[in-house]
Amino acid sequence: MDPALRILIIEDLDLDAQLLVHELTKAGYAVEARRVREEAEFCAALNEAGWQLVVCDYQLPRFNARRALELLRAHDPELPFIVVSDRMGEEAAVEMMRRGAQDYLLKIDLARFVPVVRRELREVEHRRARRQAERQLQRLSQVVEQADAGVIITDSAGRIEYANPALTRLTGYTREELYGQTPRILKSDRHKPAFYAQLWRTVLAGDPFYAVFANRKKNGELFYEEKTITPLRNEAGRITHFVSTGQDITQRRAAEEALRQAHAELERRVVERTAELSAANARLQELDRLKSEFLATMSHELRTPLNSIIGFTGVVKSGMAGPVSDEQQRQLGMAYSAAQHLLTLINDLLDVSRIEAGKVRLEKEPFDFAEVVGVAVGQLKPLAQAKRLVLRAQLPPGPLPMVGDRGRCLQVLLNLVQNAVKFTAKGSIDLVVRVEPEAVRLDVIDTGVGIKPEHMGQLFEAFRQVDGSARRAYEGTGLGLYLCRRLILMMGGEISAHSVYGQGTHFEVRVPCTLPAEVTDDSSLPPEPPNHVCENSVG
Amino acid sequence: MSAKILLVEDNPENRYLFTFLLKRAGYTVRSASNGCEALAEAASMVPDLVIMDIQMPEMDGYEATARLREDPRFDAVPIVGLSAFATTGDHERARRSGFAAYLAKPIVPEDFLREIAAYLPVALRP
Repeated sequence: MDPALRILIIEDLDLDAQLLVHELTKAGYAVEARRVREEAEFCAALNEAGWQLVVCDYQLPRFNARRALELLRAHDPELPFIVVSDRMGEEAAVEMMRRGAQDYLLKIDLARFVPVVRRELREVEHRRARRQAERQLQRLSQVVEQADAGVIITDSAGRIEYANPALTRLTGYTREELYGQTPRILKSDRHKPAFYAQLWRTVLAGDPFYAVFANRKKNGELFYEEKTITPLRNEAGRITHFVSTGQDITQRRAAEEALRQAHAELERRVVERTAELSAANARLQELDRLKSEFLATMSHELRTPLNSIIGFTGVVKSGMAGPVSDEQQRQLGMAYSAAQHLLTLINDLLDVSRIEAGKVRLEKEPFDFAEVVGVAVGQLKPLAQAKRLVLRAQLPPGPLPMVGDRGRCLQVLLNLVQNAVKFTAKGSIDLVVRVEPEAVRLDVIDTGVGIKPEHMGQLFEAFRQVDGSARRAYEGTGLGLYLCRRLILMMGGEISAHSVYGQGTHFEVRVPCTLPAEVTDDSSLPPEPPNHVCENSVG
Repeated sequence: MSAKILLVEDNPENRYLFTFLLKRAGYTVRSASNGCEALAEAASMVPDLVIMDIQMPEMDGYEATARLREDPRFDAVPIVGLSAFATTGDHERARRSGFAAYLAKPIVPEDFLREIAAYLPVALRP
């Protein structure tokens, strides 16, 4: 059985209300009726959901049909409203219909009541559906109208039937100018015919076509649109319309293009700069190579005649080539030592340039440090004796095994002791060797002129003899101590000096028993000696 | 009997100096002024020791030494290198290239003679 028909009756007379219910019941309806007499009651009832019909008496003592209809329509525009009256003029009836009543009946003609109800119950459904569809359509058209995307709807032949404000704003065409045209009105020369052919093939096959379009505005300006063209089909499946929605990406493309150009420019400059740098680097390497080659050649060219000078001086001086007078002997001696001195200069200069180019590689072989001390003392003893100086070495008993560069250790020792002999007029030079954990400590102590406190800081610098006036008194390159320090640092050791001016100088050297792992690259060394290695005990 | 020494040296003054020293010490000396001459001279005299300058025009000391080392006739002949390049790298290269020893120029006469003698059998020393 159908659910009960819910009916709201506005009627002051009990009997009339019952009559209406009776009519419906008689026609087979199950009825759930509510009778109200006045506005407050009516409003309360309206707040309940599910009413299907309102029947209202035209003449009411405390309410009236016109007001009731007004209230109902505010509440529900579709709910059927039927006016019932004892006697109702044509004019009043028309007025009520105009205000939204569905029908009117005279109480004496209630035979029409049931058919009217039946008809209204049917029609209200249609009205509701239509109303909803209209509302939906309205919402949809608002969406399209207010959308940010440009929308064009064409018929199946491609004629524009609709364009939204976003599109007219974008293109500069009015709707009137667009309607009836095809979207070709926007076409630019930027796409090949194949592009449009592909478009038509796709949409006619019923598929959406997606692409970036380069189109022209009414003023000829080019713009870029990211567009989707979708075919619309009717219920029979036939394509009736095409909808194009597009987003203007002109600015985005311009920004992307600018970014790409900036990138390309940056890349170009990086490449350019890299090329410049690598060219400069190649030039520097070439210069460095030329310098090394030059030094090697010069070294060779300087030593070759020196070989003859030293060799022949030695030959003549030794009497091998015939007897030599004492005076000749003395003079040859001076020539011989001058040549030896020249050789030292050449060797020192070569060493400095090689160390600064990072080209000196230290040997890493086992040797006896005690033996090296012995060799150094042996070589310099004659020099010390010639000046009536005492040269003593104090060593722990037995060998002092080390791993490293014996030749460079000897060079350092010879340099330090030779230096001490050179700057000492009378007294002694003492070499004290001690074993420390993992290292050998060497002290070279002389009783020479000493170093003034203000010259202490420059002691280990290249091309510097601490006192300008000393340069004349004590010949030398001024490279000896610099070389010593560089070599000792390469060995992972340290050197420092103390001096009391006028009383003597004390050099303190510490060399690890084993060379550090990496000793060839000395580019990280500071160009100037750090202060801690040249402390001054006189201060 | 004293040793036969082949001296290879391009610089005429130095060639004269070394020849003088060696002859004076009692050796028999033949000399050559480059590597090519040295190979020819070595083949004809079969020396007891070769003193080889390293930097020479035409054929340098490394190549001449390599050639001599290929020849079994000179297997027992020590070759002492002489160079005015006094760098560690040269020492290493000389050692690898078949030289028995390497002396840096300039030489000191007494030291030079002592070194040379050290590479000869006692019977051949002057």
